[in-house]
Amino acid sequence: MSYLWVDKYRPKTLDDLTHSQEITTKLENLSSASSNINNIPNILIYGPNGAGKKTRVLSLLNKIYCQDSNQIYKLKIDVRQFKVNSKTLELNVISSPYHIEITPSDLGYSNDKIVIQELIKELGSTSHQFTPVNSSNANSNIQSVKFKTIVINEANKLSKAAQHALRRTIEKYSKNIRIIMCCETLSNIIDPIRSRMLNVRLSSPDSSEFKKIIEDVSTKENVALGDVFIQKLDVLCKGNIRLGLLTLENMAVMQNMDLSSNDIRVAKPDWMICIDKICLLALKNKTVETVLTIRGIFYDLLAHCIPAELILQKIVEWILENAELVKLKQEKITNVIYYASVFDERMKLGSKDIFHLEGFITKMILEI
Amino acid sequence: MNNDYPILNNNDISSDSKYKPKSIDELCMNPRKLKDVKQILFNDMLIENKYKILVLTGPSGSCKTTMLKLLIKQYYNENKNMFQNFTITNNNNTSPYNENNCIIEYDPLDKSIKFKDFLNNCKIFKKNTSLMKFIVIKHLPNIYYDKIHTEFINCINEWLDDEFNDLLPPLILIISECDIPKSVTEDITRNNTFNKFDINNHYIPETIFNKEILLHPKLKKVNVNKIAKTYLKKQLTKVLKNELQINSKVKLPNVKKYDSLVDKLSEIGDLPSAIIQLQQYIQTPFLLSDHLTNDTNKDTGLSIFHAMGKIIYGTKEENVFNEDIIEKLCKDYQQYTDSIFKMSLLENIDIGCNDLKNFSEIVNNFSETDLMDNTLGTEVYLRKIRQSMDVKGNSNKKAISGLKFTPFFKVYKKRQHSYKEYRDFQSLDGLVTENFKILKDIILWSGYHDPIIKKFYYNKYKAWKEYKLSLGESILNYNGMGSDIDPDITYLNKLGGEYGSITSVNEIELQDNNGYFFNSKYYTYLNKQNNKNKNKSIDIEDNEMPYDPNIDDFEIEESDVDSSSNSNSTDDDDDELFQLTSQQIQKAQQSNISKQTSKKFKKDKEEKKVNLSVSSDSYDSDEELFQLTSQHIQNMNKSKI
Repeated sequence: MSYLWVDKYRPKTLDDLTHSQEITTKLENLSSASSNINNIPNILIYGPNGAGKKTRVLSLLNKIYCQDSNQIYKLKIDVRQFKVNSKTLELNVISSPYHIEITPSDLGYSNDKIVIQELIKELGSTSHQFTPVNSSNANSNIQSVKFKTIVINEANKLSKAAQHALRRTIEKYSKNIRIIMCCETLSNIIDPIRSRMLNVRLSSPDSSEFKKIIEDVSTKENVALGDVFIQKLDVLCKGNIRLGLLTLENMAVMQNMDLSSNDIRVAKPDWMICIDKICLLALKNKTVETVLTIRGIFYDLLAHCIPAELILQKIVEWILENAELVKLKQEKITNVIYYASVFDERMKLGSKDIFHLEGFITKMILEI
Repeated sequence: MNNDYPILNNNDISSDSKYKPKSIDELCMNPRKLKDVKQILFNDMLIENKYKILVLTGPSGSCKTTMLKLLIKQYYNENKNMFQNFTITNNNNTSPYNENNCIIEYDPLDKSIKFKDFLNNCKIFKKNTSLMKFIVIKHLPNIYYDKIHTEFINCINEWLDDEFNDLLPPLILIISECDIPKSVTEDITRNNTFNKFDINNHYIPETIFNKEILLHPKLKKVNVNKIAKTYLKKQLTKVLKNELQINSKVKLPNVKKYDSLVDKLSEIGDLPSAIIQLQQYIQTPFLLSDHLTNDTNKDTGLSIFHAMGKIIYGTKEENVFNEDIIEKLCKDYQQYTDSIFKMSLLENIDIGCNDLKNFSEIVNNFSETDLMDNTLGTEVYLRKIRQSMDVKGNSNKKAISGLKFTPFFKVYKKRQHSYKEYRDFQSLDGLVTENFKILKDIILWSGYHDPIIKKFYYNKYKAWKEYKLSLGESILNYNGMGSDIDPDITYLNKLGGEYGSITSVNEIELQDNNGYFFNSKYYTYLNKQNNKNKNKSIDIEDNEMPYDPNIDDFEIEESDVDSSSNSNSTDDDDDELFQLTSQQIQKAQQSNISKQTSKKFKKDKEEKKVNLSVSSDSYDSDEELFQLTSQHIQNMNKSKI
């Protein structure tokens, strides 16, 4: 039994998917029986966090391999060990009989190449044949699937070396494996990879779609919803369905399943509250002491593994959202964004995030 | 004077050992420090039992060892009567002092004895008895090897914590602090920098011991500074005169022409080194003046805090400019390219800088130089700080006391812990819900919401259970959620801990993995699953009755076990149980053999089984299992009969 509505109500088949219908149709056409199923291209699916990329990918695989019989969700988790320069690396590999799923970015930037190569070689050098589960139903149209699929999460965090390795192996083993990559932006993916894959952009659900998803789950769980709540939730989540449903459940259990009141406050994840605190501090006191206080918060955010780039991004977002409230002039906002971009780049090039975060925050305090 | 410097024509003996001070008065030492150490050694350690360990630190050549040995010699001489027994054999020596009799030194090259055993053996040299010896540890065991380091630290800890033994001999550790410069070409990657501030680069008490030891009330740390210029100069002039007398057989040699040399050498602050160099110059006079360069090739032991102080506060000395400070730092503090040094500086720039604009510029500079080549970048930011601190003048500076160290290692440790927890949650959640989440989602979203939601359900169930129990009703038919949450397995608190703020620390604080233990709930869960598979009967009982430490429902459990074990006695289970019982019987047999004579061993099987059920009390850990097996055996016996 799953406690989380996010897991419980996650769509399992292509038909269940709710938003961005045209992409769903596209994927359905790919896997439909009329076309040759073994001609499916490699897919690069990208879009914002929580838009349902993985859900779509798994639904697609469910369709291809098991004709929506949900066999694909019988997952197994193994910890695979790889030896790199006498160091042993551990990687969680999630697998079903039909596919494996990996997140190479867990390994760190310099080690992912070996893992990618080794795994793909291992799967690619043997041929596979899967007969769809329901094929006994006298449906002669259904072909056997002759490839295994590798799902790569956070593909934009792959190092360039790993991407080049991937490019070669894609061609070499194209008979036996398909690769599906998920990532948030295309910007770090090298061109040869992009050109070899079917690029699918998945956008977040818009307000009405998001509202519908929330409402569906609420009806099933008997939660009383108010318009104010949905609106506020939409503002907080910006189309992130995972965050939306998690927040909904959190709020619902806390408020006794009644979210219809008009003065309801939506619970934010604690690290976002930290960001708010930083911004408010920065606005209030323009002294060195403020910077020291903020530094302490930065350190704790970093200690909780929140990526420094994200901290920077969220601070800028906060400034943009609240610019009118705090009466910021347009050119000042421009300056803040300019500094943000400068320090964001330095952060990527440098080695100690705290210098750059602090550098940005002092510049910002001076500016606003 | 003549006696102090016996003329030795034997040139094989280097001037260094030749001129080794023979008495405490000759020591190049600040008299106050000498008095302090004396007080600690003989009063606090021996009489008042205040300290068990004295740690002498300081740059090499600052007379730490010599001072210690001389002090001990003096002590033994003053207390002759106490140690007379031991000095009879030394006929040659007019003084009762013999190093071997009062000092025992650890020699790491002697492979026949481990450090631990050495310390244990030393315990017989009890304090304040005629057997007493001072234990001097100058050369540590090979602490660059992690295992030995851990053992070393444990030994020291044990020594300190030995509450019952007040008679432990005084233990003195001598540590010649030094920084080991690292190669410039070393690659600075994110992972690499974590390990830089350690024993491999900094041979200082902070890296050798851990914080717990250094802060221990029974340990006293005394820092010996390098020899002051005036003392050293005096000493060198003495040596020079003497040497020249020997070499040239002139009563009053011309010391003047060596003036500049002595001046230069006395800046080194290292007595042995200075004397050796002096000797070189005297023996090969043509080297003089021409080849005397500034490069004394000597790290004068500027610690990280010294270096920071130099940068932040500058100096009050006349005629010393920023340029000199930077130069000195580049030469002396060889670790100055260390990122830890830079991060610690960041913690301190607010001391000399109250103006946000100025502050911002410095931080901006820090950020810029983070991308640069290490050596060059360091020079840039050092100059930047020095410059902006100077502009503000002295008025804004706070008290010197408060230099801070970066909380980097604190952050790093916490980060490691949170990361492990996220990973653990990922595996666990993936296994339980068959829905695998990527790490980023857990860090950002699930890590916060998931535990809150689960905790809510769990608390709800717990409340319901307590209510039902208070009414005396059955608690088996709960139809809500939460009954299968086990606080040992499910994460019910915010992953990585609540948010707060991490501030800088006052002392050097390092990675300390001793005693760190991560409790993986994933493995707990896996183990539990395995156990369930092994013992199906327990499995059923487990599902109905989640373990709750608050409620003592032992009775219900027992009755449950009865019914389940009866209902589950299928053939397969029988086999397994048989194996288990046979194992237990073997155990019981062994215990029987050891306890009793062989007579009882020959009794028939049934008797043993009775024995078994009696002895089951002793196996606390497998109590449940035991009850099951013994009941099962009884059942089988009944059926046999």
